[in-house]
Amino acid sequence: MDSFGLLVDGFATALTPQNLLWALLGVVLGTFVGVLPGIGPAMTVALLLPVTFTLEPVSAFIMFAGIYYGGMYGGSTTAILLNTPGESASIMTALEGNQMARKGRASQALATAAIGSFVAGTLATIGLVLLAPTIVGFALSFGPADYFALIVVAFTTVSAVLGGSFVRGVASLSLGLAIGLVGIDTQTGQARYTLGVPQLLDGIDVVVMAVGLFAVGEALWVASRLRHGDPDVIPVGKAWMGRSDFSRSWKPWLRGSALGFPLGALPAGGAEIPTFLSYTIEKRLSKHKEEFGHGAIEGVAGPEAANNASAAGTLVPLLALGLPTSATAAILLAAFQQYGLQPGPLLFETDPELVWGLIASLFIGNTMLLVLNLPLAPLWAKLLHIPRPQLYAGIVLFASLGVYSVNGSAVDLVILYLVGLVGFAMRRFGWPVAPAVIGVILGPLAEQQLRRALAIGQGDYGVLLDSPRAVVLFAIAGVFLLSPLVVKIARRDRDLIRESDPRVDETIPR
Amino acid sequence: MTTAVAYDVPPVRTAFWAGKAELGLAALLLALGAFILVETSRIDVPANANSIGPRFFPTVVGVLLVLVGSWLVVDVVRGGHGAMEAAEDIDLSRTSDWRTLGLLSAVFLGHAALLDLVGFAIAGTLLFFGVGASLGSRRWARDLAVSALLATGVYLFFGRFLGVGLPAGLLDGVL
Repeated sequence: MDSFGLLVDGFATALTPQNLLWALLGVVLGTFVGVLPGIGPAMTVALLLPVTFTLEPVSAFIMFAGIYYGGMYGGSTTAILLNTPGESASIMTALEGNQMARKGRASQALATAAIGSFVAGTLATIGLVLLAPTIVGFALSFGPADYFALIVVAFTTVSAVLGGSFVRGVASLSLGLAIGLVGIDTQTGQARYTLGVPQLLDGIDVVVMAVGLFAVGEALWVASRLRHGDPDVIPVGKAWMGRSDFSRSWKPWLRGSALGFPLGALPAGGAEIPTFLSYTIEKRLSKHKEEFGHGAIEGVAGPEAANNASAAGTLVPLLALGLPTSATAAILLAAFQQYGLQPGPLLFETDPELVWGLIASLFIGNTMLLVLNLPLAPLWAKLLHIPRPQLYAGIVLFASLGVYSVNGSAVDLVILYLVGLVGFAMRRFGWPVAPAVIGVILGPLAEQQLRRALAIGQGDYGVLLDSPRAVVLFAIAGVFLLSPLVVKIARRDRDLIRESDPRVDETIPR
Repeated sequence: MTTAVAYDVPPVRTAFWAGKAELGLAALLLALGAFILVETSRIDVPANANSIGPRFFPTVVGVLLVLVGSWLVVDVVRGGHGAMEAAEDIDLSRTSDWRTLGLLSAVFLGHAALLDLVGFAIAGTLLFFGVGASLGSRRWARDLAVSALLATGVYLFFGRFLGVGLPAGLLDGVL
């Protein structure tokens, strides 16, 4: 097939010594930052985004692919060795993985997570190669009304599905939309909502938003309720696993991948649902049901594979449609925009070298991670001992570095602080952060497509419903708006798990 | 689910405002919505527009903010609340430590004010040292040395080696 030839070209791009070096640097930096406690994949990507700005686009995205997978990888180490997960998608990994670690099986838990992530990442990236060109072919015929409907779907899914409280999800989204309005209107050239501040004419930079909400917001949140005393880190040797662990792990890896990829590729609200489903399924299918809750290897292998497959799955709508469906994907989209590139079907035609080079480096980065992380596990584990004051001081220092470097303006640092205060308040009151980031990025695109659609229709609003595709998409958005009801039913299932392990209660966001 | 959560701080005050601080965020949404709606009326609409102009989408967002803000007020008054975000280093049983937050804020804003004057190496040292001290680090000499080394190293690596635009400030020509 055609995409196979393009992928081979992509490998030719990615396999130059220089680009391999960028991929390696990305993988190491991504794992390093991802292992640090309190830092999830979204913050890892946001903090490291400005570092890539000085590179040319192809190299920057190859490095970014490494950071993306590395950040995912690092998170599982933290979940297993420190128990409390950094993000909701790692809850299940923490649940079983930490129990394994407490029983002296930390090496096996880390190994099944690492190999499972590799298997899932590779399978899901193959899925991306097969699926993306089909979607691109389909999407090339999309009109502005279809795009607008698609963006509305993304809005409803992120605010209705992420987090537990619907009103707080919508509140977060509308806050992001409002911030996205600031700046010059691209069609009439007028300044909107800038309060006369010249630095706001270009709008509030997405990097400032992401770093503020994730890094500064988290630092302030931790500062307000810092847990004192040394963290309880379980020591670990080299990650490895025996034959029986392997035979218990390979089916959960495959099932987790099969669950994670489609749920990640559909804009279905992040990796929490597939990891949760995977855990439930593995528990039902396991021959060692009694071990669940006390360190069953299947309970690490399945969810960890689902988590990684879903992360690769979110790249399908991102690359093929230009539609981010998670906070991390939204920041990746911001990275494209920084280079004046707009991901979507046209990018596959105008810049195949970049797109396929990026996809090829996903395979390469994934392999590098496996080779690096099995032997280096004890080294990464040492990072968990960094004293917390210095850890958060480092996060704030890098936040300042990254944000200042975007425009060379100290005014941005003040905006960063204010956004950080909002991020603090959102954490305090249980608002999901991702809808705000997605609102900032997709809000201006939504307005642009809406105005184009209505220009075609000469101002007739009915044009939005002329395309059957748009009608279907609006209907899907409607379903997601009703989904809080469905979620309530799904939660009943989750409550069953809660009963069997009270620790889940502290970690599952509602 | 918005019913009582295990790690909630037991209510000590019974005043109306107790546990309803989130109304502040609702007020922010309402104020933002009002601001957007007022400002929107000042945007010029080109006369030749045969489509919706620069006012339509902001109006939708403004109305959405007002609606969501009102909805949130109702939810909070009825006792609804989200779950505070859990994390590795968060102790949810504690109440907010405003002193630490204030110190950290002062350090960060001071850093923003000084950065262009004294340069990244010095302002970064003060930032790293200040944040660490705010969070309870007390080994002054070691911390200061680590801060200076780290900030200078970061400046040299990112500013000089990778070409990220960072201010040299007072140490221009020295580093």
